[in-house]
Amino acid sequence: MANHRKEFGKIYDQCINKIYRFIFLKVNSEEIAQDLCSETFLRGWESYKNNSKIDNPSAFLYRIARNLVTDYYREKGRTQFVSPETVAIADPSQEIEEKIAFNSDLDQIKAVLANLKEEYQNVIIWRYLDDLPIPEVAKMMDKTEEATRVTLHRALKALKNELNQGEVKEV
Amino acid sequence: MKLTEKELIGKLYELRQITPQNNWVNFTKTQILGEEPKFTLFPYLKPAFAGFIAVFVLFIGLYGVVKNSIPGDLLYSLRRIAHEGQAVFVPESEKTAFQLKLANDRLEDLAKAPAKNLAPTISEFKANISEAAKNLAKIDATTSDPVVIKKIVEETKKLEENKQKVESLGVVIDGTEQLDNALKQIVDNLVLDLEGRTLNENTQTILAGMKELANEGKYSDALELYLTNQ
Repeated sequence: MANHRKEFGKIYDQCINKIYRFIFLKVNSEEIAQDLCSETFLRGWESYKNNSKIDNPSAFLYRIARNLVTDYYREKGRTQFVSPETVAIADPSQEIEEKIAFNSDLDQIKAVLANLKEEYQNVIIWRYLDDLPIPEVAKMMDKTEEATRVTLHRALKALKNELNQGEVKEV
Repeated sequence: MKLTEKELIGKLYELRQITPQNNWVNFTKTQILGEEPKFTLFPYLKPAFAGFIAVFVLFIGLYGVVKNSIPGDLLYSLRRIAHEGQAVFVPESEKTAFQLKLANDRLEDLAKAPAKNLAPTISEFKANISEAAKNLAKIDATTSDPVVIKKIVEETKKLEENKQKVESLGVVIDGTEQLDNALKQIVDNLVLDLEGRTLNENTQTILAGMKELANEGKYSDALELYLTNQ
């Protein structure tokens, strides 16, 4: 048991930033991101201590996080819509804001990203923010590598189009 | 916002700066996994073993304090018990040298801290000397192992040196007469023994030297000279 705890502690240290960022970019609230992120790791730990043979703990945690975000929007009856203006208001605490030092471009990208469809958000986050290789992204998306590349290309194009239009649309 | 794909990807990389607060990360980890084991010098040791180590360290510390205690100190009784325990295992023939060694230890204690516990230390010294003299009186040097005599001579000479050191610090030590008498007796016996034998030139020279040293009261020197012929 102590060994499992130690192992999961390592997984936690390796994944906490990625999972938090993954959730935060979808909910645009520090408080909600923290709640959902805690819940993700709690559920991850509950599963891990009963079955430590999880092949890819990182993918496993992403799956939990995705489900929790989906549940969050479903339960609240919310549409995943964020404008650049609300991003600034709903942005994390000042401490994080200072640390991140978002400029308006990043605010806009963040807001637009949050309004892309989930598949596009995920592929962009995993590929460019989490720096996962295409084969791993493909596994997480349950697609072929080629299909993943296509999705990534479309996701970037969609993001670029949204930004170029200079407005955020509800997805 | 007009961005090329490359610029857009560059901006996306910048979003990596989004990180949770450290205190939240640590707190959440603790909430989920419980407290991490504290750093310990012996991370794999159970509390019982740690207790054993603590007792061991305490024992070592106590040993150091006891070893350096002098008569009159609270812990000297433990040191004395240890000496008595040691004495049990000392062969009968080496008891004199052992008692002389203890007497030397007392003089060394006095040399280190002449003002400390003076009376009990001197008293202990006298007791050791008395014991040594009693044992010495039982020795027949003519038939004894020269190694035993050699040890006695060494301790006696050391005793004289230590005595001088202590006296130079202003502490007057008496009570060695009993030992001197015992040594004198031994030297006299050896002289008598040699006089009763047919001696070669070398032994005659030794005998003459021994008599001379004995007349000067230098019994340990006389014994040392005797040992050169053994």
